[in-house]
Amino acid sequence: MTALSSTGNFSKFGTYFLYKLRTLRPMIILNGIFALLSYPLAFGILTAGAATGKQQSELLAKYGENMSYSQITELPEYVKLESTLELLGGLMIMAIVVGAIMLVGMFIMSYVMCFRSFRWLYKKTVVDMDYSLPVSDDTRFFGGLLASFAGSFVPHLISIGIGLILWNISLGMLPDAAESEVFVIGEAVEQLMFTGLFSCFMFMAFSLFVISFCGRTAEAGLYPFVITGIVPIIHAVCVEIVLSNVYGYSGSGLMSEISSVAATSPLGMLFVSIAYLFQGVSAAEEFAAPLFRAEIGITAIVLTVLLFVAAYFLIRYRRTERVGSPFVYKAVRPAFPAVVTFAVVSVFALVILQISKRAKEYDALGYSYSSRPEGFFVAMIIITFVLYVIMELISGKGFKKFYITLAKYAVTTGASFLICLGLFNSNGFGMADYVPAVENVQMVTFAVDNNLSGSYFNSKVSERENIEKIIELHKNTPKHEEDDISSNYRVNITYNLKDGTSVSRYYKLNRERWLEYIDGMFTSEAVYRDLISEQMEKSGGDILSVTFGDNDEAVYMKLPMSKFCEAVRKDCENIGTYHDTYSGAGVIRYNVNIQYQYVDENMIADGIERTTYDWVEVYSWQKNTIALLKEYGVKGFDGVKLSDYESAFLVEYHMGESFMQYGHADPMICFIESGDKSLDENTLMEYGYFTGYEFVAPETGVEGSDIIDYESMSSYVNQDYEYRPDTISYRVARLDIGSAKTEELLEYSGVTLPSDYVGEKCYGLLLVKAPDALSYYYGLGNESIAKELFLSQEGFAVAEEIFAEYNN
Amino acid sequence: MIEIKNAVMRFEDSNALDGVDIVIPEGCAYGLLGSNGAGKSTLLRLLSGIYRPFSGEVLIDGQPVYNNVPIKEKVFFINDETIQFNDMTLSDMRAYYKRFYSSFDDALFEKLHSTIGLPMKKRLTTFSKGMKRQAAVICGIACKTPYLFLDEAFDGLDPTMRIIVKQMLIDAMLDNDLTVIFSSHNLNEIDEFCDRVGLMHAGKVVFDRELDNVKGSVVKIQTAFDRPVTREDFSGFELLHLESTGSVTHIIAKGDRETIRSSINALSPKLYDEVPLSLEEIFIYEMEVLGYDSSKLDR
Repeated sequence: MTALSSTGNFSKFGTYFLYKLRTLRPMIILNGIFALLSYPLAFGILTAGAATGKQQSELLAKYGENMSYSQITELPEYVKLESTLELLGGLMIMAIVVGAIMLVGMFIMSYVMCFRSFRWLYKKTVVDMDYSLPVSDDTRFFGGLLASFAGSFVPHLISIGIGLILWNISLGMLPDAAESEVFVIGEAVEQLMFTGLFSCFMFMAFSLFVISFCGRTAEAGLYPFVITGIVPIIHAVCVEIVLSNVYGYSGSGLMSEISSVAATSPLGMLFVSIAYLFQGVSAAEEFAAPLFRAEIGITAIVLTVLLFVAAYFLIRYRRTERVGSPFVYKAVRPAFPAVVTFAVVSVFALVILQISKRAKEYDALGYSYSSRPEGFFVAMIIITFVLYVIMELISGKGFKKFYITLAKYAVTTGASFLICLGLFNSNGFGMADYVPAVENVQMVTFAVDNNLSGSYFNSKVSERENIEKIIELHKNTPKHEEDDISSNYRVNITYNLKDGTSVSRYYKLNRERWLEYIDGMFTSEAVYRDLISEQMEKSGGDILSVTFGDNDEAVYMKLPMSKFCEAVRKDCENIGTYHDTYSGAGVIRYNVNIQYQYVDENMIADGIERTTYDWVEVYSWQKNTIALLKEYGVKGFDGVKLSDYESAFLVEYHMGESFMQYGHADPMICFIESGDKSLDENTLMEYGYFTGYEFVAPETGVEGSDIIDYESMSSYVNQDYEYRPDTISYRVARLDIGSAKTEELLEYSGVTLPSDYVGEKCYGLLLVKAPDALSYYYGLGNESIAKELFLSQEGFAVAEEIFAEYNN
Repeated sequence: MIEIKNAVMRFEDSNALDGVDIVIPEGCAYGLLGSNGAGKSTLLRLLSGIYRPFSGEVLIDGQPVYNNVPIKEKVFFINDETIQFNDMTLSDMRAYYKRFYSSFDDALFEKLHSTIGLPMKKRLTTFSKGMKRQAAVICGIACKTPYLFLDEAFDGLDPTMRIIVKQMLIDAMLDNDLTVIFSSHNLNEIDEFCDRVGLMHAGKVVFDRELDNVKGSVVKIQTAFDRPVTREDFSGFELLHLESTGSVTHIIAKGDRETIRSSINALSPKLYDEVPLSLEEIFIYEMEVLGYDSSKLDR
């Protein structure tokens, strides 16, 4: 009896499935055309190209012994093949464009199949027809679904099958296929085929899920597209809203941040796949489509299955008598307009909240900020209102009680904005306070810098002990911005985790905490890595030449890199504190340009020996390194004496303008030239433009402040910022080398700087050997030994005296 | 047998069916009467398993209909609209129903088709409303289900075709012991065809009786009195309608005829004459009592 019943059910299922399939016949034919014009067309042309290429290779092999390459290429048969290849190249571009359009067609058809198979969900007359049939609810659902699958995916799968066959034929004809760029493209397209198929599958799940709520044809025709389009927008915008206000989050690029949209929507899956495809192909890198990345692929598959399951239950328990009315589940009637409203509000909220945040930052820094959020707010209100009214009309509202619509709109929009505000202030749902556990960390890249002094320290650590040290420092770092918003001390930490992901954080710190980081992480190994890059150390070749500073004359040598690194490492064993090492009293930094041999693993096949250049910093405390370089004939280390300088300039650091331009504070050094009065304003401007420094010569009659005003104003205009002259801070005085005041200043410089250094009252003493600014600009005679010294608080007092004297 | 027990169906905030109780025996030709929106179509959809009742039971042969494939195989429903067949030809329709109803009788279909002579290969979109309905009816009869439900079955049929279709249905009933339920506003057809009727209004069943019983229980009397009479003068029976024109008074009364006669005679009428009532008149007067009154148009 049961067997008979099962057979009967199966028979009914088959009957219903075949009936539904018949109703889809015209759509299946259209989908088949789309499918054949997609991958098979592209791979067909690729195969033809491969066959032509193979013929060319055979031709070369045939005549290779007796004729030169250029002679062979002039043969009529070769020229004909070349012409065919050109034609196929053009056709290939056409095939890619057509293929993309066809893929979109197949994507839409997956919806159409579902829309057509499940007409009884939204069309009253078809409800009577389908529900009066002697079939069960399950048969109706699964029969319709299977027919949609068959209509949508069978042509798609056939086209993928043909594409793969043609691709393998092409590979067979391409010599060294695995190493060619075509192989990378083919592999990428291969993945894209399955991603495309899955996107269609996911779109069908989305469509069926959305249609299961719809009671009318207009809703079922519109909302699957609206929701499918809106979900990735909401996802991406919400991610950006959250991340844009996570204190310490330093970003990993928009594509990387929003790539998770591939997991939550078919459009996202397609978009991210195509974006990654182009990225992968253009970089000729190994490509992994989102579907094949575990974290995205599994989520997308689970979501798709869940949507089908949800649709099954929603359809099973929906009331058929409500078909013909707006939304069969009354509870969701406000949900669809709310989702659309939320999407629009979230986009505006992102802009509004970012503008407000920027304004707050600028306010804290004492700058003004001209962009205001009110305009965006009004635009948001108008656009969402119009959309909301349209959606109410689609839902059949007659607006007899328009005030109810108004109230619903106000609540929806208000709630949407509040949600965005909540997301913005969520601090990343714990992300801001998150510090990885030591056992999960593979390596940490750690960098600190102080833009005021130009100090920079960068290292990579992988020893557990040092990782623990960084994690401890990180845990103790305050996770809020307000106190240190204007600080110039920064730390950047990137954890490379064992699961292949990374976590990056960036903080502005007060000086004490910054020093904690420095002191905590300042090891011989870290300094060594700061001085010698890993690439340089592992190059395995010899140093071929060394150029001291900007000198044109290189000293040629054959100094083994290992020997050089050994000397540097030995020097690093005796380092003192950070400031002793990098900017302590009497520390001189030499810039040395080193040319060395290296092995390029990517290009090892061509057998060409390669060299590269790199700037290496050598400090005056590196006795072994200097001795080694001297031994190999490098001069200049002993030549830097105070008496070598022509001029010394006492400058006040000016900050703010460059912050406005570049988003972070770079020191702007102003210095004055004493001797040359021939420089006109244009020359000064040109100088400033090329060097990045502002150059001022009061003796020429050009006021330094005028130049800065001019520069600042143009910057403000370009950046659409409000110009405020009072943000400019600028003072300059000239010193005579050998004068008592200079000696006094030098005595103070660098002695007690780390402990009582005050950023706002920092003066720089710039010593320049160049006879004039123009010479300095062109690099003549200055040897890049301009030295910046920093002053202690006692030094400031002397500096103030110098300023007063100079200005009088 | 069809049993509807306290069935409730709700649309939005109103009840389309509000506690309906009906029993229809096998082989019965049941006429479903009612005002517009009374719930006739809803009841037929419940019986066809299209709708699931909110509460109560809808049973055919003792089993619920909704999502019950063996029971639904015994039921064929022809609804009041035919546009769903527009994309099909009559040949497609035949194949369509043949797939789902194992009892589909090809010979019967051929026989019925030869009677009405509709084109087999033309799409139904080119058919008139009446032709589409004929197509649906012959498919329904050919399925040979024990139960056939027709919503506004004769709507759009010309008089000749009404007779033909009616005859087809009578033949099917005789041959297959078919139980038919009609909903219709054409009371003459129900009068001619049905042996039992149910009257619905506002989701409730006003009455559900044998047609003869319905007709026998309501009587129209022409009478005349030597004084003006009011409703209060009549007791002992249910007075459906009272209207005086000049000296003649028209009474529509419901109840036992002898009781009605003796009650009126007690008022010493100068004239007493019983006139037979059509089903249509019974419908109108019954509905009038329920407040569904055409005379409201005059107010």
